[in-house]
Amino acid sequence: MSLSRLSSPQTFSRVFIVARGAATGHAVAPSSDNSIGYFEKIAYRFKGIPLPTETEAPKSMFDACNKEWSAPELLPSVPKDFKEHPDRDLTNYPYPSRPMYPPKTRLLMMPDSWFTAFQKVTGTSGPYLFFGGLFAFLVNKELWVFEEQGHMTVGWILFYLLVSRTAGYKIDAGLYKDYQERVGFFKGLIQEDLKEAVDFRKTSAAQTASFAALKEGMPTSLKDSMQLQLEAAYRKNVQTISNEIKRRIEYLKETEETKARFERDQLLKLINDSVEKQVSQKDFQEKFLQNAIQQLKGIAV
Amino acid sequence: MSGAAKRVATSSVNWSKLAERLVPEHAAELTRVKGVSGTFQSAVSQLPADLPKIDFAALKKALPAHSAVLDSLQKQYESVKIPYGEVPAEYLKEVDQWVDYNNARIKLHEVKVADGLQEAKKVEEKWAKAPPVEHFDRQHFVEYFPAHFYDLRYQNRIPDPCNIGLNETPEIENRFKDYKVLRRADKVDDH
Repeated sequence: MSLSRLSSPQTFSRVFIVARGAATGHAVAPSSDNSIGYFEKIAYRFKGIPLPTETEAPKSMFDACNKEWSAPELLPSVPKDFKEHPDRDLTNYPYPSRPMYPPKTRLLMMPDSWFTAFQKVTGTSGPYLFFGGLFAFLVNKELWVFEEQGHMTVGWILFYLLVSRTAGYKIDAGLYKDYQERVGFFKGLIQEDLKEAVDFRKTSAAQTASFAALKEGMPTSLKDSMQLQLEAAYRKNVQTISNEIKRRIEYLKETEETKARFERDQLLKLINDSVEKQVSQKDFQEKFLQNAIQQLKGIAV
Repeated sequence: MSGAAKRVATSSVNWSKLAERLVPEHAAELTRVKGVSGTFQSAVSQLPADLPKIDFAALKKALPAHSAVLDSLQKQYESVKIPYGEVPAEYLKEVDQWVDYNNARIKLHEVKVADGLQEAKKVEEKWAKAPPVEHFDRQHFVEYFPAHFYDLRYQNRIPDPCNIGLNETPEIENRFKDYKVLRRADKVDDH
């Protein structure tokens, strides 16, 4: 609030220092709540001063009183070279940008710019004397006539001061937040409008890159596929011939094996027949028994 | 063996790297080619590359009775020549046809991109020329957000601060077109 500039921070700081000193003095006392009086506790609570047994300052509803609000982030300024129209004269008619803070005033209502023109010539008191004299002249000549209810303006001024001292900080913070939200809404509309253009640029760039890659890779892949088909067919033929030659060699080997197996079978058959023929004779049985008995006798010894 | 001048055992295309750069439509095209190529690639990897070497001398020792047959087999085997062949020219022409088609497609895409860029530049220039939103004056809101604001100085419409749709129907305009008060359109004035 512009009126907060008229208050003197030094006075408040001095009072605050005195209060802090009082707290410090009490902290040296023995650490018990009984050392601080009942009404002094209430005063500490109102001022937001921690008690000796507390580590943090208590939350007070008066924290925002007599506090001057300032924007955490200033509004973006208009670019220096911004022109609404090519013919605009930026030197004599700059773009009327919105100021962040109201201009400085004196005595709650007079613009500071009215005073600075006089101040170079007459000093600090000159403007006050001029406007005061002018006011007195107007009142004296009944050019400025007071209404019977005019004295209530003083009350309104006091009420305004009361509200701005107490709730001004929160009002300013809330208004700033609402303004940011409102501007954010419009910025969202702008981004929504630009989103289509941005998306189009991205999509078209991706498609262009895709076309380039396809143009580069697709003919090669097609020809490679056909070459691979040739190679596959060739290898198929190779396999066919390999199978045929292996089959014939296996046939020849099988022929030899069959012949050898047949010879062996015939030989075994001949041997078996001879043995059976010999066994069936009676002389062989007697000769065999004699041999068996002789062998048994030898074993008995 | 084969007298082929050039043999391809594997594809020279890096499919994964190529697929990363493609948009889904083109990736679908490449996937079809990759499928066919993959079929042949698997066949190529499974089948033998060349005719095996056969030791006929050892066979002759093992099978002396068939040495004559083995001799003739050896002659036949050594004289075998498997033709490799070439890709038919008409198929290569088809590849060229596809290249022409793709070039035409690319040209069409470039034309579309140029038109789209013009539209995009219009929008971007519009907002580049606009002052910051924080410093909009009253007429700027009407100019840049016509859907949300109106200016009765030059727009023929009825103020509708509560947004109840007074401008959506012509009834009010027709009702008050005649300056006479509370006169219905169907009232007969025959006094």
